[in-house]
Amino acid sequence: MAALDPLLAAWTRLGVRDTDLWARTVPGPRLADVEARLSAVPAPFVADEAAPLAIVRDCGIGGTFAAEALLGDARAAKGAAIAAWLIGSEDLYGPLDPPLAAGAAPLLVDALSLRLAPTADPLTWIGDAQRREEAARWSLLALGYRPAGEGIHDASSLLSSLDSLRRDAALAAVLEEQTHRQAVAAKLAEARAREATARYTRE
Amino acid sequence: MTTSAGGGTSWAERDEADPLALDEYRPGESAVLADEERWPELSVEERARLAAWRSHPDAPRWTHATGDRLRPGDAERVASALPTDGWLESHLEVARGLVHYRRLSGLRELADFPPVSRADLMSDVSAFVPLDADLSGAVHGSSSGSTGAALVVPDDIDDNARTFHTLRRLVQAHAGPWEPDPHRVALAHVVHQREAFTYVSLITSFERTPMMRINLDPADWPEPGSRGRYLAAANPQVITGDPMSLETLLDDEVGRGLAPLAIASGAVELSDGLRAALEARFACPVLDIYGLHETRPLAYRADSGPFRVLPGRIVVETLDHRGAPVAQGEVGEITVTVGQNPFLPLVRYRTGDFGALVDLPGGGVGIDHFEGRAHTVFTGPGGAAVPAVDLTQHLQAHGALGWEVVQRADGAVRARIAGGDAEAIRAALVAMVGERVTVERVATVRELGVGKPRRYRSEAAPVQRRSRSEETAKPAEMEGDGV
Repeated sequence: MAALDPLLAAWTRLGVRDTDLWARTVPGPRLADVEARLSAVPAPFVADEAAPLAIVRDCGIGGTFAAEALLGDARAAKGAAIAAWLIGSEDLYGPLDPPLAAGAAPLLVDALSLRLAPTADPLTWIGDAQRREEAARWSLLALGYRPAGEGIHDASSLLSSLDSLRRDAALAAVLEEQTHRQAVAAKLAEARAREATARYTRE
Repeated sequence: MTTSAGGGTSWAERDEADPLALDEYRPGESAVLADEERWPELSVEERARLAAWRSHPDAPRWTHATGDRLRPGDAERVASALPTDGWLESHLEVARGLVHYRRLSGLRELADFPPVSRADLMSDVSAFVPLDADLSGAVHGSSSGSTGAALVVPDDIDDNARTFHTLRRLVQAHAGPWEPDPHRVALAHVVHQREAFTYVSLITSFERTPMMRINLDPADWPEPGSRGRYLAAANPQVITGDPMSLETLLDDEVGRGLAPLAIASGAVELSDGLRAALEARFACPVLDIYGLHETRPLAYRADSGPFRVLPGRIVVETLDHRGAPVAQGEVGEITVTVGQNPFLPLVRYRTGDFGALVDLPGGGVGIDHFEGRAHTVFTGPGGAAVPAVDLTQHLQAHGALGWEVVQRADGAVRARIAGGDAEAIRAALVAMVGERVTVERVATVRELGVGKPRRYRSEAAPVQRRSRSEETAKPAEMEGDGV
């Protein structure tokens, strides 16, 4: 079984399954608008000496996120800074429709830092068209959106076809399984706390 | 609830003084939802009906509250059995995508799938849950784990609700119509054990008629006579339970006001003698239902003949120890493929029980020479009967992953446990079965033996059923009696 990158391992521990993410999506901004923001990431955001946590907070993202403990990894740091830029850019250039800031910003940071950054260099999200589209689609998904004009089925198929992780099928399978394991464990723990249902017979 | 018990001691005070009280059974400890979540769209009248049974003057101590989470609009869907046309092909297609199987090739038909066991589910239940399952509809399911740590699985709300209608169809086949009766409780699920989850619920798909799970242990009731009066007032149409609990209904103080349409036994083997006694006492059919929590009901019988495999998404095979099918009529391990719970599509699941498949007269598959589900009763101080389930609760509560508990004819008890807090387990066993207890801890469940050995054995013969109230009332006698 393929060993998991520590960033991907941290992502699986969140137990966030793609199927659950897609199920909660609502129509979001146009994909091209998100890609345009990505192509305009300011250089200081992705400089080696950047302070990613300060950037995240300066861009108005509060709350906790799992990637915080892993920002010493340059890939995670750049992923977090680009996530922060997407939210912060709405103050500079105006909100998208609907606003990115209305979505789940901490999960956006985790998705870009832990899920996407280890499979595709964050700098390519800015300069490479295919990787930019992948990052834009992941950003929308993490925020609870799918691109304007796309249904869940089409949107998930398009992201799968771009997914850098899919180039390593074995790694993709391990990631999917570990995420699933966490999701089931979390669901069972939550379900226990929320009562079982009545039983009619002794089994 | 802090209602005062007959002796003037509140439930809370009594539990405080009880060295064997388990936290999860303290009243209200595990109940967290509001009634509106348990039964969405609850009407004023239904709420009053619920309150009446919960607060009846003779009501027992309720340790829990739970419902079926169905809306009235769901009733029709769960009242019907799932369609079976082509189900096995779809089921196997889902299974091929499960983590447990998806790297295996050549899984063309059922026989190609390697059998799995409870240990496989214990080690990683997520490997048997479809990757694309919508877990938002899953609820907590736990098997009693009489042979080891409890198995926790995702249950499906609809599937749970369908078990009522499976039972209803069986009752109707043997006892005639079973329709909602506004003057009676639909079903009483009785237990008789030291600690239990007890509650009143409403069956949404049965016109929201009440059902209840009650503990017949006298210590759960406000005063002598309460059990009989409450049960007579409820007059449940159908009573379910394990044989030890159902036996209590033969006590005239408990059963005199009852006139059930049918009685259904489960969990462990129902003896012919107890079946006959219940049939004679209540003049109704007594069904013995075989199933596991993770499989749901699989087969039943209404007499001492073979079990009849239930219609529905169930395939039963009998396998030898290598996993190969045994010949028709020969005894093998009962292995089932079931497609009722979408969160747990089991394929060739070894039950640990044994039997022989036979063709039944008039059609249908039967299980003959059934061997499994033996129930064990230990002997406590003074000859009191201590059901194995009481031991199970404490073994699990103190972290044991597996065990073997044997009581000799002279009453001495030897427990071998895998994992867990040996000191705490010994203390609990001493409190239940007397001073002469030895506990040996082994490192792994495997060291207890392979397969599904009889984890409980007792050669001692109890002379009376034990009640928690008697224990707590006579601590000095307990210590002095020994075994």
